[in-house]
Amino acid sequence: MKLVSFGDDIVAQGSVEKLAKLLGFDFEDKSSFDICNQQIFRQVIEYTDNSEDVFLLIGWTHKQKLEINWKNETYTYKPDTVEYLDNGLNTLHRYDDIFFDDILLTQHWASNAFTLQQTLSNLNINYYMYNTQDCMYYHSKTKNYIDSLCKRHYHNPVNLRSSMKYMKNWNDFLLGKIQAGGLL
Amino acid sequence: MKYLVAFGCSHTNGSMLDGVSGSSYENTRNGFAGILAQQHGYELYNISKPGGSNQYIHRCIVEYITHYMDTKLEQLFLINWTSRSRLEFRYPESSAHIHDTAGDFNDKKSVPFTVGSNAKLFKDPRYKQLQNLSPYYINPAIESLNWAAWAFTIQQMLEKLNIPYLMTNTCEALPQNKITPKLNLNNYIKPHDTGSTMLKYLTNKGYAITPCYHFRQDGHQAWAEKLNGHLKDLNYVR
Repeated sequence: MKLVSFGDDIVAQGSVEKLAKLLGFDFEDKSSFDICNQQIFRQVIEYTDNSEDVFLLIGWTHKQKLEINWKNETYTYKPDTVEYLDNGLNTLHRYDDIFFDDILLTQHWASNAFTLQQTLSNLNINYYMYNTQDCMYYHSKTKNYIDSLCKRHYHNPVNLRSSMKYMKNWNDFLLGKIQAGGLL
Repeated sequence: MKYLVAFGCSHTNGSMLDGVSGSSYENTRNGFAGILAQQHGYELYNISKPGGSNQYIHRCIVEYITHYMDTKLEQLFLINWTSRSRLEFRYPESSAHIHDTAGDFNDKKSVPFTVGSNAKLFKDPRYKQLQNLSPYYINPAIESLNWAAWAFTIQQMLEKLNIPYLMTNTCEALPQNKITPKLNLNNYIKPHDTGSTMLKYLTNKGYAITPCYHFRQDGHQAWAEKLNGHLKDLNYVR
C-alpha cells in the first residue's frame, strides 16, 4: 500500500512521510510549492489511473490563489503578493475583490471537492481530505455545497483552526482520523 | 413526474431563438432542450446562462444535485459544454448589481465573463476594464485541462449516482490533453471533433445563424433531432 500526498508548500514541509511510516505504507510526495486548489484538483484526477493499493491524502490550499497564465508564463496569483517575474501582473490587483469573492471561491472549491469525492468513491480509491491553511466560507450561499461533502473523508472544512497550519502533531492527528473513520 | 435537466451557456438558454431576446423565459422553454423534454414527456429544468462558462456549468450541476434534485424522481441530464475563453465571477452580496437572465435556479449575482464579449453587459465598470486584460489571464491550454477535469468528474459522479446523461459541445471542440483519455465517449458526443459541436454541425447543415452566432427555431429543432438519436442509442428514450 502507498500513501500519496497532494498539497501545497505547507504539506511539502510538513513531513507527511511520517504518517506513511506510522501506517506502514510506502510514500509518494506529489505536493508542490505555489500551487492552487484547481491545480490540486487536476493533479488528483491525473493520478486516478493508479488506483491499486493507494491511499490519497489531499491537502487543499488557500482559496485565494488563482492559476493565471500571464504572457505565456503560469503564475499562482495571490492578493497579498506583488513579487512576480513580470511586474505587469500586479495590474490585476485593483480587481482583487472581483477575483477573490469568498462566496464564489468557496462554491468552486466545494464543487471540485464534491465531484472529486464522488469520483474517487466511484473508482474505489481510498482517500482523505483536509485543509492546509484556510477554510471554506460558510454562508447561506455556500452552506448546501459544504454540507453535502462527506465529512468522514474530509476533516472539518469550515474551521480555520482545523487546518494543518494551526494543528500540532498533525501526523498523529490524521492517523487517528483515518483510523476512526474506518478508512483503512 | 420526470425531469430533463439541461445545463449550458446561451445555446442551451435559447438565446435569439425568437430573433429578439438574448434571454427570455420563452426561449429557455422552446430551445433544443425544451423540444426533447416535450417529445419524451419530461418536465424541463433549464439551468443555463448566456456567457456561462464551463466552470459555471460544473458548479451548477453540483448545485442542482446538492440543492434542488428530488432523488425519488427520474432525471435525465443534458450537459452542453461551452467555450474555453470564459470564467465565472460574482457581484458581491453587498452590491445592488445583478446579472438578470432567464433560467431555472438562477443566481442573479453570478456574472458570466467571456473574452471579447460586449462590455455593456456589465454593471460594474471595472469588469469592462478586466475585459481588456482578459486575453492575458484566460489561457486556452489551462482551460482545456480544467474542462476535461470537470467533464470527467461529472461523468464519474453521475455514473455513481445512476443518473443518465448526455454531454455535448456547443461552441468548440475539447482539445485532447492528458486528462481527456479518461472521458467516457459513449455519453459524450465526439468531444474532440469540431464538426460535432452545435455551432459547426448546424452551420454545416446550412441553418441560418444570427450575427451573435445563435440559432433560430429550425436550428434548435435540428440539434434536438441529432441529440435524440444519441439518447435513443443510449436507451434513455424510445
